Amino acid sequence: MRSRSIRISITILLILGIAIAALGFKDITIDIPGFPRIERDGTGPLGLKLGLDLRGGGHLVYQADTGTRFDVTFADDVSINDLITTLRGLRFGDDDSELEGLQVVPIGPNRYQIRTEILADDDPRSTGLNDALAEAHGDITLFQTSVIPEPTLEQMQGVLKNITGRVNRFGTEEPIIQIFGDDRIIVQLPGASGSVTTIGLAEPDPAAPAPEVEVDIFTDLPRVLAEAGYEDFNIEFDDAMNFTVRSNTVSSQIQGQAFAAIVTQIGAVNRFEVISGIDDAKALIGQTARLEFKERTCENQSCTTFSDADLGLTGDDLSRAEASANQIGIGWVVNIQFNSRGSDIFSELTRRISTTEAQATKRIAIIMDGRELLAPVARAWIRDGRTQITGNFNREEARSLAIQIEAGSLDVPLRLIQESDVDALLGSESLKNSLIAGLVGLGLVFIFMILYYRMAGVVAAFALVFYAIVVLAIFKMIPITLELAHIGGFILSIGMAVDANILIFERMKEEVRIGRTLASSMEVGFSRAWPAIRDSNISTMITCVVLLWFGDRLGGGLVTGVAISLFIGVAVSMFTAVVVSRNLLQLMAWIGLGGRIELFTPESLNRTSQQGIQTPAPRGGR
Amino acid sequence: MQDIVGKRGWYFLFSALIIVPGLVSLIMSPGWITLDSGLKAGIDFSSGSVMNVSFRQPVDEDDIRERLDELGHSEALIQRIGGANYFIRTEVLEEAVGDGLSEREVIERDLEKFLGMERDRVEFDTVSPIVAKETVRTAFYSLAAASVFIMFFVWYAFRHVPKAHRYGVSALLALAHDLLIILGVFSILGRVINLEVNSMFIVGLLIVAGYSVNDTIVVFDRIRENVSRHPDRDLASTVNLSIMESMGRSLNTSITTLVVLLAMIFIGGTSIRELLLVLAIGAVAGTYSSIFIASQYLVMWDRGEIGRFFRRGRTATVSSLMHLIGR
Repeated sequence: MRSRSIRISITILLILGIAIAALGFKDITIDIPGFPRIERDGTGPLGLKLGLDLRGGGHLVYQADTGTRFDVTFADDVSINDLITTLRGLRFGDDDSELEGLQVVPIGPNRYQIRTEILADDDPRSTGLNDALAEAHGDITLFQTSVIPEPTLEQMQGVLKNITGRVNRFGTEEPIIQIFGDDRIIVQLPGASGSVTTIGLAEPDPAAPAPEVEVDIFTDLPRVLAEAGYEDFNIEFDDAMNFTVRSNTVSSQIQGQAFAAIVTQIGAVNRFEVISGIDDAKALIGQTARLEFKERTCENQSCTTFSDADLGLTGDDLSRAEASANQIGIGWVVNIQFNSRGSDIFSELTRRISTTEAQATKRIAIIMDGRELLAPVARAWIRDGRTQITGNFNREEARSLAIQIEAGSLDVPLRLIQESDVDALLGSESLKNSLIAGLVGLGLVFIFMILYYRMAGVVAAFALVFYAIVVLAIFKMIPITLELAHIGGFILSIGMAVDANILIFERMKEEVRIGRTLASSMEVGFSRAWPAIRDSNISTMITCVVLLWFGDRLGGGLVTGVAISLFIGVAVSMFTAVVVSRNLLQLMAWIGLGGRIELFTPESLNRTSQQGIQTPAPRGGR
Repeated sequence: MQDIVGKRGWYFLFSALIIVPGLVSLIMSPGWITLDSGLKAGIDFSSGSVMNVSFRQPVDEDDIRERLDELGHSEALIQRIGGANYFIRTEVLEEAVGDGLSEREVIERDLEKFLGMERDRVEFDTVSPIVAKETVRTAFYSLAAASVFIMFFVWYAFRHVPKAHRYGVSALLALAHDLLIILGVFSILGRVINLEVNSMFIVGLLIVAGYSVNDTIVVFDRIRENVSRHPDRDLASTVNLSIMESMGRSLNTSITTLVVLLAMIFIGGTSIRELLLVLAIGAVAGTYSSIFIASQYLVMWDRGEIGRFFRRGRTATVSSLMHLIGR
């Protein structure tokens, strides 16, 4: 009995130690080969991840990318600059109208996409462009016009739903996604803030004339960055040529300005990279999220040079994609299921490229918005449209890929028009006040427990501190993005965690009242309180599991968040009461406090006449 | 020993005094008739307006909040998005009435005058709700599903006690009682003092659902223990004994929970008050319903009073209630 109790004590101390370490070290990286890498570096106190309401995060605004598009291919060589000059100079119709909101994007050799605002079919700018360009740059082999009209409300709601599905990856982060006006979408994500810019200057060319003005990097770089629009930044000088700048999220516009300013005012740059906290979300949302499957022919061994051929296979031909654990190997896989049209094309493709010779050069390129997601090799002829992509994916990668593949293209192409950091939704006072209030509340509970249950109250107080530390550590390691609601719920659950202790102590008192010794009162008290603790907590856990299941299926991040944190709270509070409190009480009984019942229950003082009499329990067990 | 079971009619009457007006308020227009909610939807659940504004020099968020409070927009959510740019969500701002200024203009002029906002750089538009209607629906479906599971679990957990299913149904009744009280109180407060419900309200409902059954089972556990110990005893007196025995625990748990809640209501920030209010009502209702609704319902069922109550018809409802109270 005693050695068991000592073993349990050691386990408790070990758990407490691990939990304290998990909270004490702000940034944690655990990298055991063969296991998924764990990285926890939340920005909140104790390294906890805080939600949008408490901490803020990244702020993205997308706009429906409407307008008229001309897809033009020239027979002769035409440079983009010449084309832009030509387009700018063009005037159409009786009122000499120009092409407004003009943008030119090269999409192939001598092939350009010309974007402008929405033009009516009979607008002279639309009807006259072909001839005008042919006149300026020679024969046109392809000229296609497409109009992307203003989105309808239904389309925007479709986009909202699609993006929500993409961003709500794990259900514990609560993004805010709203339709803004008629054609914009706001996406705010917790924690995804800040940018890190790494700049490497090139060695000055010794042949070049010395600059007229001496450059002092320590004063000029901050000035240049500030002028370009960097905010709240600090610069780490790795050496005289290399710098790391941490700042608020910098938009691509600011990045461009900063790059240009450094080149003109400081010197040639051979490295300029920006990594933003919001990049992951941007990749997940995509611009149009158009998914295409192409047949890739490699031109060298490692497939660094290749050519892609169209298959007419797109995201529309997919019926589903999901991540699952690899049944026959390690890691995670992505399962893909094509619809009947997709299956036919895919069957024909894999028949051709899955032969041993073809495997050496052929790949299937999966491309989203023109960016390659994956390029797997086809290992077999797949006739039924069900396929599995294996790779060395961890769970998160596989899920993210499945979401990107399955979510389908957006009804409306989007253009990112704003990206920045966003501050907490609630003032910083909210968190502080709630924490202070929680501590005061906790203190009052301790006082109440100790006054009412004496030494047992001290045990309960220790158990509650244990409870609080372990729950916070679990929150951090899962990780759960904490919103004020979670913190409120957590502090409240401390009040509720007392319940199991109270149940036990009340039963103990009853046993002491009928004259048992302290040690046996404890044992009997525990065993009598146990069914109530077990069943009541299981019922709460069932509620949580049902909420979690429904919330996950029906897409309610709010519901799943509450369910997870409540489940953790209940599970830990049960463990605390049954293992920690019980063990502590036993230890106290053994170190000699056991004989002094009055330390445990004030009522025992009223029965001094009965002291020493060992009345056997008159009540039968259950 | 106190006779608690004997006065059971009173407890139901007392709950009905809160629940019936609450239900009426929930169903009354705007309510189920208009397929709208009888609760006053806050900024999280309704469309709103967004102003994207810039100031000439950095301003403090609290100053903006103060100005908006003054203009009657205490619901405003204010976020800084880099530099001196702010993103302000409010309720839908009213159009100008007659030749007066629109609400938007009033706010713009005020912020320009007091805080140096740049009026020519204001971006203004409507936004969809932060929490989609589906999320709210999800919450209620999940709660309904969870309640059914809970009923079966209690039935299973009490399978050794005679007529175990009655415990399941009674626990479900107590849960519904607690949720209806919260919904009713918030619906009435919405009408009386314009109290709005936001996502915190949903969070609170979910937590209360978990807590309510937890509490009921603790009381039921005593009944289970005493029933198997004294199988010949009348259920009413067993329930009475069980309630008296577990009263200390029930009160102490409620006190500790309420102590934490009250500390947070008085010291904590305003932003969490809605949640705390739901939880406080839930904690009191949960303790009350375990002792005075769920347990009493068991006794009433045992004595066949429920069937009698409904068989008597509407005219006799009052007299049967009086009969119960008069006992």
